[in-house]
Amino acid sequence: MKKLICSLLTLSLALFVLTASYAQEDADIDILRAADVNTDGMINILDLVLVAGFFGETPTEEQTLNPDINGDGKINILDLVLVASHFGETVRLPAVLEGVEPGGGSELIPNDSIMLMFDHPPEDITVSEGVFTITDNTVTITGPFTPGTLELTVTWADGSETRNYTIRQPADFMSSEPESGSELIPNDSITLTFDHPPEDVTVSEGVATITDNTVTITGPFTPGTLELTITWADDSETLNYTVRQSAALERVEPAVASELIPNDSITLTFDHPPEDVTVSEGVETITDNTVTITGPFTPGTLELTVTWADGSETLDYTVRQLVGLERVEPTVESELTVDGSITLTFDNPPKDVTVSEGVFTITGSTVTITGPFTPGTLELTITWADGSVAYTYTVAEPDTESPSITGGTISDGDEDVKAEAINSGALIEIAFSEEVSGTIALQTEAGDDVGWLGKIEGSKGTLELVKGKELDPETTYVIAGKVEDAAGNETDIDITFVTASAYDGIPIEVTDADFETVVLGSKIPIVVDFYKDG
Amino acid sequence: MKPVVTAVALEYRDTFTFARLDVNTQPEKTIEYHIRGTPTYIVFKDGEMIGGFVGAMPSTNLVENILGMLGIEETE
Repeated sequence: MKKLICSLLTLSLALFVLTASYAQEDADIDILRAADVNTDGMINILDLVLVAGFFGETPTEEQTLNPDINGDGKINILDLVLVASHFGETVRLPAVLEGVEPGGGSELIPNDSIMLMFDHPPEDITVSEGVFTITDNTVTITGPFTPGTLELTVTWADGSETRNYTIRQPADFMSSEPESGSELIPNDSITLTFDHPPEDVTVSEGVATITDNTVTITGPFTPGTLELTITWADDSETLNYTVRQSAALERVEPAVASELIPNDSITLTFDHPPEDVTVSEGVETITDNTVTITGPFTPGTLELTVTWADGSETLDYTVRQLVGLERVEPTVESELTVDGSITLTFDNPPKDVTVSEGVFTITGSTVTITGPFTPGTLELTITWADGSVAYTYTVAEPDTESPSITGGTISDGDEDVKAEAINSGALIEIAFSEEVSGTIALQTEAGDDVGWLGKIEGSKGTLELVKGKELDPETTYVIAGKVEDAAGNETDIDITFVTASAYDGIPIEVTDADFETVVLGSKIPIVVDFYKDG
Repeated sequence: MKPVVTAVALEYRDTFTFARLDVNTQPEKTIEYHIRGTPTYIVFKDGEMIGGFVGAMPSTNLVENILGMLGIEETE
């Protein structure tokens, strides 16, 4: 066997010499690679030995090394000649594409790069788009690629590969609303606007919703400092906010629909301190979680709108006019009877009236307080919705004494009453011991009304002559009637008098007491003779 | 003087009335009308003092003074 191999090698050398003129430059790379049977990159004696070793055989598919150089199905002298003809040449190994990064079907942005990894350095590279650079076994193809579908064909000396990509437009952050640095409340949302729809959006807090070029990030955000980082396929952005606790209205005092007075105040209590509070009427004061709105409010319907940073509320009230006391009767510190009454007059109907003593009734703007009151000092306090007063009165002991007649022009039983004098005075007066009310009339003895005008006023009763009803001489008259005092004590008036005979020209004797009536009240001229008796 | 007054009062009872006031027993009006001597006559009309005169005199003078103050001309 060794002899045979040696013979063949010798033959091969001879053939090498014979075929020395075989043009190397014409050599097909496939032939060269076939001649490099052991695929070590060199065509040398080892390749000749392998051909010689299988000389005369037919190559099988199981063979890892194929000495059938010309591929004619036989290992023969022709194969030896081909090896010998390229003896000593170097054979470039074929570059086989081992991987592509990113893989076909991926989504890229215009400035992305695509790397192709070969097992050996590829040669004669061309690419259908982009710019390639070769570093050892790696070909890097960089853009910019045109957005849309990229059908990238890479061709090298040993083959070609087409990969399809989608080139999308990269999204640049344009603005945020509210701006970074703003103050938020937990349930606020932040809207970020991009120049193109962003992809693969993630946010460090909140929930992101993407609509076209807009990313809306909604809370709830944790109160405090919010460092919100938004990451999308092309970049990331960090926005800083201050998240303050939002204020919700918890209660209102007094309750809505209540009735107020102009200077009342309304208190709103929030769960957290409200900010940017404005009110449609009144003046607001903020203390921690409480907003106090003070008047004066205009009487009528009050539609109070309170607006704060997180909301607004409209509160409806009725503002009523303040009720003030205008006068009191009888005057303060005067004397009352046990069953007397006190009347207070207000400028408007008072509400929520209470009194410390007595019983009160309200009629419109008037409050009447009636007894019975306890005799002695009465300290009476009257309170109403808008104020109170305290008055002192003296309550007199009950009056049980009937009024009495204390004097007058005529006394019961008078006789020789000068009718002319009475007629000239045209007036009969009766004095009572106290103020009374009642009736008084001048009657005949038979009880017929003479026709004089009777009147009771204060502590005096008067009978005024009606012309044509003059007293007649020598006639019995009766002054009749009934009076009662404030306590209801009654007294009958029953004064009987008899007039004297007719005036005969004898001078009338007057006194200091009846001077006013007889002289000054005379309807005809009268001459008074001031004389000294004796 | 009383007879003079009584006569005049009777004669002119339809024109005026005569009244008499005793200054000893009725000091109030005596003081009020500044009576310094008696007799003093003061004439009132419609409640107003319209004049007066002092001293005793014949009835004709008395009547003349009174009617003069009352603005009445004596017809007799």
